[in-house]
Amino acid sequence: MIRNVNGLAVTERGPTHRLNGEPNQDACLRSRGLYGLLVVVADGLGSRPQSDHGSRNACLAARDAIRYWSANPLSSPERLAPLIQALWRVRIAPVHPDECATTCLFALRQPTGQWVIGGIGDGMAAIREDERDISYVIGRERTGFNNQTVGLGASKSASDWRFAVYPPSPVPSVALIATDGIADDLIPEQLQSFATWIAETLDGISPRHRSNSVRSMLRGWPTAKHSDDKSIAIIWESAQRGCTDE
Amino acid sequence: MTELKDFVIQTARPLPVILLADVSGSMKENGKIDALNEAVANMISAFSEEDTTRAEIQLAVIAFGAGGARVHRSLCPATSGDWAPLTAKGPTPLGAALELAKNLIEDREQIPSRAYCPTLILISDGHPTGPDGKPTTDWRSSLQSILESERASKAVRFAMAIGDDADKDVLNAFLADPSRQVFTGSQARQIKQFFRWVTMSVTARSRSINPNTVIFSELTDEELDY
Repeated sequence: MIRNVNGLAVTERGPTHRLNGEPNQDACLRSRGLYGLLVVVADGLGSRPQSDHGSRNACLAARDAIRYWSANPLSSPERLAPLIQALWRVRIAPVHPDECATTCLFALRQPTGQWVIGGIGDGMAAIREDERDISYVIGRERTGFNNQTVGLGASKSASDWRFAVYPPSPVPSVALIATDGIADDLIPEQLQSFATWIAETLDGISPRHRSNSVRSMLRGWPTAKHSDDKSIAIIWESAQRGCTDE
Repeated sequence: MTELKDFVIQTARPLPVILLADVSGSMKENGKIDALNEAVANMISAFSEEDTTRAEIQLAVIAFGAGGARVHRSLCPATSGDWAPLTAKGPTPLGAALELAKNLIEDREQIPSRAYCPTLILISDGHPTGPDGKPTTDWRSSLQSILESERASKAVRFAMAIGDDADKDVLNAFLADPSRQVFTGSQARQIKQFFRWVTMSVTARSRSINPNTVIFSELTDEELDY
């Protein structure tokens, strides 16, 4: 079945950073290439002085890593961990990793229809493969408390990374990734409905207005006293209308 | 029509504060229990007045004395409900109180993972005993259970010894950090000072960009006095 494959990544500075005139410590990226459609979000750890530098470069390092990794279709996704790590360190130099630690979550929809989802740190990475259920790759099982996380520059263990591969689904799929400024406030039991709702909402908006629409949604985030920067990225498939396809 | 708010938790992220209060018979002496009640009421009032916070400060009180340890005030927003004063009577069953605190912190229904790290405050004027009033070391296993648990071990801990009879070894073990000191005092004024210090640390956390950043304010006696 031929499908449209759409992607969007949006980041919005949180009220605290806006008020203090400080930079957004989150970053996001949407990129299309021979590897397919990729979205990345990264959340610079708040206690680090250059976390905005870290998060921006995490998104770029993930893109670069996936470009190299995709050249060999037999390569396992776990190979991405050292690759992203190394490319991130090259990009952030001369800044020390401790000073710009960051999370890094991504979702890739390959041209074959296969999905690769993964990353390191808090936040959420999930895929809705059918109309009834959603699978978390990162997010639901957190054992600690808010804002305690591992990430690039804040991890010494390969086991801090999570990866999952999903085959092409018979029904249109939706992949959602978000930093914890969003993920911690979403009602877990409603996540499947949220994925459907946001994909349908974006489908009904012209592509050039989608980013602004999501940005204004993040600005009006309904959680009381919310203060975090917020980033969300989504890849959604839909039945083909007209001639647009990946 | 479906809207974003249908999928989002609208309450602020909680910042839980759990007070473990010794209400054994000896707390009746020298107005200690009255000072404790007044200090807690002032703390609640200060929490309630914090309107610039990035989190919702919630307070639970676990009292340990006659009849064992019990939840005197369930975990709820500091702005909710009136403060019902504690009364002092009976032994010092600290182990049971630590168990209750651990169970509360581990309960994800009461303290969800979106909450910021809890603050755990222990205030005592005596030596731990069992429900029969005899000295016991059962608190050690209860404390160890907190220090080894995935969530409870992350709590920010404060401790106050009231009077010379207080077992400082117990309170130091509770802090489990050689760089930190047990707050000591024997008079009503010092109990109030301790709570003032805790209050300022909690409210400073709740205002900070990352409320998990632990702030142990260094304050002078004058700043700590009401």
